Amino acid sequence: MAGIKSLDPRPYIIYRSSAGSGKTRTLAKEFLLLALSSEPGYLKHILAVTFTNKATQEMKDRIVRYLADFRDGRHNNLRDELLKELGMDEPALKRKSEEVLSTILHEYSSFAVSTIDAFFQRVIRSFTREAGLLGNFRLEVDYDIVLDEVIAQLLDELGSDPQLTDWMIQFSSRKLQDGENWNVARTLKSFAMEIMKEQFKEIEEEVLKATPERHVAVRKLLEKESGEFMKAMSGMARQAMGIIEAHRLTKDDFKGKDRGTVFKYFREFAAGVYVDSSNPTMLSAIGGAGEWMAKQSLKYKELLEIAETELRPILLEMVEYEKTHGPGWHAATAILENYYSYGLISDITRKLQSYKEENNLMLLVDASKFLNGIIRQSDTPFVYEKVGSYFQNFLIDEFQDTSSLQWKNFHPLLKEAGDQGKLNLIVGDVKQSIYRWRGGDLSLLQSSVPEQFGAGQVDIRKLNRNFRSGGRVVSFNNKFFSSAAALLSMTLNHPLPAEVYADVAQEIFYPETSGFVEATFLERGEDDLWKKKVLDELPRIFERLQDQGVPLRDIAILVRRNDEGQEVANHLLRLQGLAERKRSKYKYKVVSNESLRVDGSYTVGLLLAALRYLHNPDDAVARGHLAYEVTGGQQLDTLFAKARHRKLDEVLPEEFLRQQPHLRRLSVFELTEELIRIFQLSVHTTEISYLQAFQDITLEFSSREKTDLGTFLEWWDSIKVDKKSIKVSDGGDAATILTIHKAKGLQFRYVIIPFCNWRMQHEHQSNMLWVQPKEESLSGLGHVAVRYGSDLAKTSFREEYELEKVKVNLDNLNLLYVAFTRAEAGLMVFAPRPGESSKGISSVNDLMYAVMNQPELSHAFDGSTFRSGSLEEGLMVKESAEALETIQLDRYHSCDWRKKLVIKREGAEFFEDEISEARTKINRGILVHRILSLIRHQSDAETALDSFFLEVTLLPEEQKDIRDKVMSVVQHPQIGQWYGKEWDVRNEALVLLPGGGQKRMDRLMVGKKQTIVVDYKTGARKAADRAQVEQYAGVLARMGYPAVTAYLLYLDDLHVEEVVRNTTLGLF
Amino acid sequence: MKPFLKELAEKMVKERTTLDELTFIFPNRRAALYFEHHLAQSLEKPKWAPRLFSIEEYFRKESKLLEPDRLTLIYRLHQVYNETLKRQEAFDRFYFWGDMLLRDFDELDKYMVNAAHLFKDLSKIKELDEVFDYLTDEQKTFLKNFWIHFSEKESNTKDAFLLLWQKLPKIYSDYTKGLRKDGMGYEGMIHREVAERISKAAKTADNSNVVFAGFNALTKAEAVLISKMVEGGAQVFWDTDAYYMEDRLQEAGLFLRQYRDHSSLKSTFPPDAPDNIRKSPKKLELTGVPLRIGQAKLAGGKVAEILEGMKREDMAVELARTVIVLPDESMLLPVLHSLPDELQDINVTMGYPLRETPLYSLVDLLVEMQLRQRKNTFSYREVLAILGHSYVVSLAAKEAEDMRNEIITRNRVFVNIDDLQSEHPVFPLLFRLVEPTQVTHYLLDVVRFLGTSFAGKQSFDREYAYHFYKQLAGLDAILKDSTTIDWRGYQKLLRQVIQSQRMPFSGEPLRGLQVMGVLETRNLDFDNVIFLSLNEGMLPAAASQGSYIPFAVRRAYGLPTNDHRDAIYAYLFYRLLQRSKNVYFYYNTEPDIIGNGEMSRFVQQVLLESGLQIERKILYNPVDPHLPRQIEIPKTSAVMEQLNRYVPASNPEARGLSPSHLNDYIECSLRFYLKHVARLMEADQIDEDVDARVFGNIIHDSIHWFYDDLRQKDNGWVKPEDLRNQRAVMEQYIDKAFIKLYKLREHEAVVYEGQRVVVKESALAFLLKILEKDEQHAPFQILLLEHEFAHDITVSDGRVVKIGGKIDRADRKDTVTRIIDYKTGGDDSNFESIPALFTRDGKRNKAAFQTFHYAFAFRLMYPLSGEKLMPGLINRKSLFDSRVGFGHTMGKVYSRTTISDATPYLDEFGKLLEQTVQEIFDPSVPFRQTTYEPACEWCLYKGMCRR
Ligand code: SF4
Repeated sequence: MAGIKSLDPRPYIIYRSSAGSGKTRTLAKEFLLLALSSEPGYLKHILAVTFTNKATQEMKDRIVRYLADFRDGRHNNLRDELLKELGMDEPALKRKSEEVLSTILHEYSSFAVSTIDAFFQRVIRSFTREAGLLGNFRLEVDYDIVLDEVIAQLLDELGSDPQLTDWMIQFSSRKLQDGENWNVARTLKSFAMEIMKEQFKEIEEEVLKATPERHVAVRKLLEKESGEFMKAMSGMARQAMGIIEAHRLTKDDFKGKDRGTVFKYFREFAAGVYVDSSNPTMLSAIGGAGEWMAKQSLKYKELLEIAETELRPILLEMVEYEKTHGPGWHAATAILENYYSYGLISDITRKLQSYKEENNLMLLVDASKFLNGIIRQSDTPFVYEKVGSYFQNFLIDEFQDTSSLQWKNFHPLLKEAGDQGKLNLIVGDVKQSIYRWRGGDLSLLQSSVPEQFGAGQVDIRKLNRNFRSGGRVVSFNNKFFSSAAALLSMTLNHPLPAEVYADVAQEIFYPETSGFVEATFLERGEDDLWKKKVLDELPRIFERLQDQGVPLRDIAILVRRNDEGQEVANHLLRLQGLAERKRSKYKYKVVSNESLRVDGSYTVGLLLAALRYLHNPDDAVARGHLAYEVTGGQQLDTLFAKARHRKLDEVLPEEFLRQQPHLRRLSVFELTEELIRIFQLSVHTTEISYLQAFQDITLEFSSREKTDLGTFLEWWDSIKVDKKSIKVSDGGDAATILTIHKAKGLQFRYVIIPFCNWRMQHEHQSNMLWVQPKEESLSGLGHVAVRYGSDLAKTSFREEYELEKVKVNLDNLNLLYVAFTRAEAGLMVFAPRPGESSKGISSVNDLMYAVMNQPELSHAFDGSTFRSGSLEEGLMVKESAEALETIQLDRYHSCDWRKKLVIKREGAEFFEDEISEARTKINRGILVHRILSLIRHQSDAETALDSFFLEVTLLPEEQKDIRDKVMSVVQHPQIGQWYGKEWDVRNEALVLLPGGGQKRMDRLMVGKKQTIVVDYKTGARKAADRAQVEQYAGVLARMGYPAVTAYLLYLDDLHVEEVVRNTTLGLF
Repeated sequence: MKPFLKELAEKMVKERTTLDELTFIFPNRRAALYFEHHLAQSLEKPKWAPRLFSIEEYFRKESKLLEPDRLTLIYRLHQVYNETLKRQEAFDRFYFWGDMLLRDFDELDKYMVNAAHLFKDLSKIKELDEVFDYLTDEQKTFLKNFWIHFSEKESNTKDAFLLLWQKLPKIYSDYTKGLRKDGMGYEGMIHREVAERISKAAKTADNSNVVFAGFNALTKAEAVLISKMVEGGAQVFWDTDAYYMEDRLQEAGLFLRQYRDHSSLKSTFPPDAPDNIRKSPKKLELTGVPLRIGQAKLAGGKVAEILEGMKREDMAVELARTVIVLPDESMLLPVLHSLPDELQDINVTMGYPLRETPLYSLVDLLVEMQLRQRKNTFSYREVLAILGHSYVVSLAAKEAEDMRNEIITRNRVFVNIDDLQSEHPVFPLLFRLVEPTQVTHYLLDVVRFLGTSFAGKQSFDREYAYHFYKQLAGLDAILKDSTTIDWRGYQKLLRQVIQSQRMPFSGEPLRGLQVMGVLETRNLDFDNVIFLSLNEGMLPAAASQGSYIPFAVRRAYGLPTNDHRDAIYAYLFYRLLQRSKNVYFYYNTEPDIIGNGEMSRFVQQVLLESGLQIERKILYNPVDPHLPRQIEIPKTSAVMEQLNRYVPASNPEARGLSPSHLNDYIECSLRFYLKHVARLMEADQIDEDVDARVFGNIIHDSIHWFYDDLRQKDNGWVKPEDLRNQRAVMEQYIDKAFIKLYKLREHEAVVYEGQRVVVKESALAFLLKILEKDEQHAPFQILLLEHEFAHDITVSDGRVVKIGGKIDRADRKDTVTRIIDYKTGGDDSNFESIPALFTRDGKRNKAAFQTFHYAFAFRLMYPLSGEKLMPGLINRKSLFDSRVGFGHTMGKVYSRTTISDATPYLDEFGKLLEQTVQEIFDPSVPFRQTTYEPACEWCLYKGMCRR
C-alpha cells in the first residue's frame, strides 16, 4: 500500500487552471500516475471527486479509455508524458494498464470517481443508526413538492398559533403593499427557498433554537435600541424647534421652505420621524448657516445670527450623534422591519424538520451538514473505516464550487492523508465559480485552503495554456477579462474582482489567427425589439456555418435563463418546420435538455387536456381543449358549443368515453399509456421524443409520496421549465441550447450567446442577507435576516452589504467568463447597446460596452460591432468525438396488457365474490382446501393449522372458524376415515404425463388392495368436476394402481360424491 | 442451445426407470417448475413426479422449527431489544433497525458464525490473536484495523456504536432462545440447525437419490448440507462456463471456483467447463437510451421484431424462449404497456411493490386523514383526495362527485363527517372517526370491502386487497395489546411495512413471453434475451440494505459483503449469455442527479474484455413537434347569433358588454370569444389559496356596504368623523362578506382559520387605509355606489348592442366628481394615450380603460353637470405609496401629467369604443389569437394555444 509519494515533499498540489487548460486531463493523468505506479489493489485508496454527474461519467470514461489504449498499444495524447513520468517502457505500461483496467472492471467499487454528493451519501448511509435516522430514508432533491406540503401544513395552523398568525399577517401586508402576488402559499414558498440554501444550513440550528419567548425578548431589545436613538434625536430637535418658535421664525424664513432643509430636519425629528441628512442641501447647511436662510426673508440678518450661534451647534450635535448611533438604529430598524420573515423562517424550518422525519426523507442540501455532525463528534478514520473505504489520495475537481461545509468534511481526510505524505490534488478556477447560490465558496481555493495547510505544504501550480480555443478567442478573452475585472474593481471600489482575474491571461496553443470573435450591440428598441432582431439573426448564422460545412451539432447557444432558451428553441423549431415544408437546403434543428418543454408538442398537449378532463369533467376549458386537439381545429364554433354543453360523444373516441371509470383508477403513468393507445398518439412519429419525455416524467412522479392525478396536475403547473423538458442523448445533428450553468465544463466549436444582457446584481429583489449585528447592545441576537438592498449601506451592516454586492457582481462576471470561454473556434455575442442616459455598470452589456471601448479592444470596435477574425476564415479543424450509430423509435408500442397477463391469482379466491352479510367476508373454503393439502393423517391437523396460520395471517375470529372447519373434516365420521394411519397418503400427488402435461390430485390414498383419489371442491357443484376425477382414476389405473375409487368432496357442506368405483386397468 | 434444466431432465429420464424415489433440490421454486416440465416432456408414459424442493423448502422440511412472518419476528426482537437495553424505544422507530438486525442475525446463522465472538467488544482487548485462534492472519488484520480506532479518542458516535454492540450477544441469544422455545425460528436459525445436525451426525446417510442442481453462491449452511450429502452419494450439477471459471478475476466465477477446489465438492465438477459464452454463436447489441421509457418502447419493438419471424400457432411456445429481464422493478409497467399488441400471452415473474398500488395510496390517505382529524372534522385536503380516489370514484362516482362539489362551493376547509355520508356503504366505512388503537380494524374493513367489491372484473385490485389484508392482519396481531401507538407511529410503521412488501406476480411460466427480474432468471435459459436497465445501481443493484456489522468485521468473519453480492449478479448476468442466441442490452445514458448509475460494469467488461462482437447504438429521436396551429374563429352565422347575448332586442336575457369583456376582446379577441361567447369556463376550485379574486370580492363588498349604509344618513354626505374609528364596523362587514362568499350560515360567528385569518387581517388593513385616505378627502358627497350603467351602440347590421357595467363609486367634492374603481391587484395608474388604451399588441392599462369607460358612461348619464370628471383608482399604490395620489397620469415616462378632468378625452374614447364594438360584430373579422404573447401568461386557454 505504498502509493506514490511525490518527489516534491509538499503533499498538496493546487492547480489553478483557467478555462480550456486541460483540467480534466490533468486530473485523469494524476489519477493514472497514482494507479499505474502502485499495486492494483491500491486503486481503492484513490478518490477523485467531481462536481456534476456528467463530469463523473466523463472522468470515468476517460480513465478507462486511456487504460484501454495503453493496453492495446493505441496511441493517445497522454502516453508519452506518462511513460516519461512513470519511468516505464512500453511493455511495462501495457502490462500495468491491463492490470489496472482489470481491477477497475472487476473490483468496480474500488474505482472511486464520484460526485461529492454521492460520496457523502455513501458515508451517511452507514451512520444512520448512530445519528438517529431511519436507515431507508429517501434522498429528496425536489424541494418544490416538499415545500408545498410544509407550507400547506403551516397555513392550517394559522389562527391557532397567534405568533405565527401575526407574522403571516405582517408578511402578507408587506406583500400587499409591495404590490406582489397575493397568493400566500406561493409567495411564502419562494421566500422559503431561502432555507434550502447551504448558507442557511450553517445557522439552521441557531434559528431552530429561537423560542417564542426569545422572539419577544429580541423584539423588545430591538425596539429599545431604536427607541433610544429616536429619543435622543428628537430631544435635540425639539430643543431646536423651541428656539425657532421662540424667535417666531417660520418655514418661510428658511431657504427652500420645508423641502430638504434644516427646518424640515428639525421639524421631522422633533416629531419622531427620521430624516436623511446626506443630501447636498443638508451637507452645505452643516457647513455653515449662510446657506440656511431664504434671501428674501425679512429677518435674514437676525436669523443668521441665531442660526450660527444657537441652532447650528444643535445641528452639529445631532449629525454627530447620528454618525455614531445612526448605523445601529438603521440596523435595528432593518431587522425589525424584516423580523416577521425571520420568525416565519424559523417556523417553516421547524415544520420542515418534522415533515422530513414523518416521511423519512433527507434533503440533499442537508447532507453536508449532517455528515459534518458525524465527523465533528468522531475521528475521521473511524467514520470512513466503518464505510469500508480508506482513501489515501484525494483528487478534487472544480474546487471553486465546493462549499465551506463540504470542505469541512474533506479537510480532516486530506489532513490525515497529507500528514502521511500522501499526494493530494485540488483543481479549480476561481473565475469559473458560478454556484455560490448553492454554497460554492471561491475563497476556499483563492486563499483559505492554502492557508489552512500552510505554505510549506502546498504547491500551487498554474495551468495556463489554452488547449481549447483558437488564438483569436483566447487573446480576446485575455484582454477582455483583465480589463473587465479591473473596471469592475474600480467601480465597486473593491479589489476582489481584479484579484480573482489576476491570472486570466492564457498562452495560446493554436495558431494566433485561428478562431474568431464577434460581438454585436443592437439598439434596444421598444418592447425589447432587439431580442427579435437577434432571433432573426440566428438562422443567418446557422446558414453561414452550414455553407462552411459545419454540422449543426458543433453549434451551441448559451443562455442565462431557461425561458430565454425556450424562446430561442421555439423560434428555431418554427423555422425548421417552415424549412422542411419548403425543402430548404438549410436546417435549423435544435435540441436541449432544458429548454424544450414537452407540452410544446401536440401529443403531450392532448394528453394533458385529457388528464385534466379526467380529473375534473366539470372543467369546460379542459373539455374544449381536448375536443380541439382531437378534431384538429375543424368547425371550432360548433365544437366549442358541444364542449360547453358536454355533447362530445361524436367528437371524442368512443373508447375514451366508455372507459372513463377504468381510466380514472389508473396511476398517472398508466393513464398516459392508455391515453396514448386510445387516442392513437403513437402515429405522430416526429413527436415521439416528447411522448417519451412526458412519460418519463410521469414515471418518475409515481415514485413519490403522493401520486394522485390532482397532485400531479398541480405539481405540473408549478414546476419549472427544465424539469418538464425533453431529455436527449448526445448525438444526432442538431444545435444545442443550454444554460451557461449547465455549459460549465463543456466546450463547443461555435458558441452563440444571443441575449448577453443579464444584470450584475441579483435578479430578484427579495434576497435576504444573514447578518450578525456588531453593536454591543445587539450582540446577543446571533444571526438575523435583513432584506438585501442599498438601504443597508446606511446600517452597521454596510460591510456585509458591500461584500455581498461585490460577490454578486463577481458571480455575474464569472458567468460571462464561463460563457465566453466555451468556444473552440467561434464566439458570437449579441447584446443591447447601453442607453445614453444609463450610468455605471448595472448589467453585463454595460460592462462589455465599456470594455470594448478600452484601448486594448477598441481598435476592433466600431461602436456597434466588435470583430476579430470572421466566421468564414476562423474555421478550425478539430477532431469531433466519434459518434455512435443512432437509432430511432419509429413505433411507439402500446398494449392493453391486463388482458394478456398470465398470472396466478390468490386474492381472487381469497375474498368472497358477493357481499354476503353486512360485513364482507374472506373465502374460507379455499383456505380449508389449502390446509387439508398439508394433512396426511388426522394427527397432523394441529401442526398443519399452526404452520398455515404462521404463513397466512388471519384475524383471530377467522382463524377459529377455519380451525373448526378443518377439524370437522378430519373428524368427520365418514370422511375422517381417509385420514387414518393405515393409508399411504400423497397430498397434491403429481403425475407427469408424456409431452409435458401433468395432473395434480388433491389427495391419493393407497391401501393394500384399494386406491382412493379425492378432489376437494368449494363453491357450487359443476359438471366438469366429475370429468376431472374420472381422468385421475384413468391415469392411476394406467399406472397400475389397483381398484381405484374416485371421490369429490365438497367442502362447504362436506358432501361426498363417488364418481368412479373400483376401476382397474382395462376398463379404459 | 439446450437449456441447462432440459439437459438435466433428459439425462435423468434416460438413466432412471422411475423418478419418484428421487429428490431434486434447486436454488428456487421456479427452477423446479421448469425442470418438472422438461421431465414430463421427455417421458413416454405417465410417471409419478420426483420430489422437487427449493433448498429453502428442503431446510424447512428437515427442521422442526416453523418460521413466522417477518413482522412477528421483528416484533419479538423489539421486545428483547427493549428489555436488554432497558429502553422504551417505540416499535415504529425500531422497525427498520429491527429488520436490519434480523438480517444480520440471519446472515451470521447462515454463515454459522459464532455470534458471541463476532459481537465481541475488542476495543479494550489487545490480545486478539489468543482469543481468535481460528481466524487467519488476514482476517485478524481486518479486525485490528477496525478496532484500533477505539483505543484512540472518545467520541459520541463510537460510544453509541459500542453501547449497542456490547449488548448484541445477549440480544442474540435471548432472542433465539425465546424463539426456539416456542418452536419458531427465522430462516438462518433453521438453516443452521439443520446444517449443524447433519454435520454432527455420526454416520452419513445414503443420499444417492438426491440431486442438487444449479447452485452458485452457497451460504456456509448450504455448503455444509450439500457437501455432507455429497459424501453420502448425492449428485451435484453445476451450471458453469469456462469464460469465468478460468479467469481468476472474473467475479462471476468467484464461488464456483472455490467449490471446484473444495475438498468434498471437488468431485462433482466435470474436468472441463463448457465454453459457451465465447464459442456458441450469438449476436449482441447494446443501445443507450435517455431515461427509462425509451428502453421499454425499444424492448417492445424488439419483441415485435422477434414475433415477425414466428408462426402464429407456435407463438406462445416459441415466445417462452424469449425473456425480458428487468433489473429495475419500476420498469415493469412501462414494459408491459409497450409490448406489441399482437402478443397473446405474457408471463410475469417478479415482485410488484405494494406501495405502487392504488390501494396503498388510499390507505395512506385514510391514515393521514385520521391523523389530522379535528373534533368532528377532517381536513378538506385528504377528503377531496379520497373522494377523487379512483376506487371511490369507481364505486360511487355520483355521490363522491356531489360531496366534492359541496365541499368546493362552500369552501369547507374542515369537513364535518356528517357531510360525508350517503346511502352507499363505502362512505360510512371510510369517513368515521377512529382512534389509533382501532386503526387496523378500520383499514381491514375497508380493504375487505374493496376486496369483495371488485369481484372478478378487476382482479388485480383483488390481488392488491389480498396482500394488504395479509399485512394488516399481521399488524393487528402485533398491535392488539399495544395501547401506546399513536397515529404518527402507526403511519410510520405502516409505511415501512408496506414499503418493503412485494406482491409476487407469478404465472404460467411455460407459455408466452417471459418478463422477469434478474434473480428470477436463475437456472433458466432463453434464446432471446432482452436486458434492460443495465446501469450501476440496477445491475449490480445498489447496496440498499444496511448492516449493523461494520465492513471490516464482516470481512473478518466471512460474512457476505458488497463484493459478494456483486459476484452473484455477475454470475446471473453471464449465465444468461451462455446459451442464448440473441442478446439485446439497453442502458440509461443519463446518470442520476448525484452521479450514480453509469453503464453497468458487466457491460463494460463485455465491451472491453470479452472480445465478443457487440453492436453499439444510441437512441436519438428527432425533435420535431407539430407546430401549434393558428386558432381562428370565423364569424359564422352561428357565432353571429351567439353574439346576441349582448343584444337585448333579440335576447331577453342579454347582458351588457362590460368593460372587462371589452378588455378581454382588446387583449385577445380569441380569449373574448372563448370566455364570453363560447363560455368555456374552469370548474370551481377549492380555494385553498385565497387568491386575488377572493380578496377583491371581500374588499368590494365590505366597502360598498359601508358607504351604502353611510349615505342613507345625510344625503350622501360623508364627513371626516364618519370615517374615524370604524374598525369594529368594518370587521362586521368583512364577516358578512365571508358569509356571502362561502355560503356560510348567517348570524353565526365567522370562524377564521387557516389562510382566512390572513385574508381577513389584510382586508381589514386595506379597508381601513381606504377610510384613512377618504378621511383626508372628506367631506365629499357620494353620488353612485355599485351603479349599473348601460348605453347602446348600434352596429352596422343594425343590431343595438347593450354596453354595460358597474361603477364602483362616484363622489363629488367642490366641482370635481371622482369616478373610482377599487383595485386590489398590481394595477397602475399611468397610461400613454387614449389610443394606447385600445392597443392590441403591447402593454396597455386595463384599469384605466375601465375607469375611462365609467367616466364616459357617467357623462352620458349626466351630460349637463359641467363639472370636472376625474377617473382614478383606489389601489395599493394610491393607498400605501405616499408619492402617489389619486387619478390617472397620461403620457410618456418622463412627461406624465395627471388627468384632473377626463372630459376632453371622452369623445376620442367614445369613438374608439364604438370602433371596437363595431369590430366585434363585424362578420368579416374573425376572432384571433393575440400576437402579443405576454398577454397569454395568465390566460385560461394557454394550453390550447400552446402559449
Ligand atoms: S392563450 Fe393567448 S392567444 Fe390564446 S386565448 Fe389566451 S390570450 Fe389569446
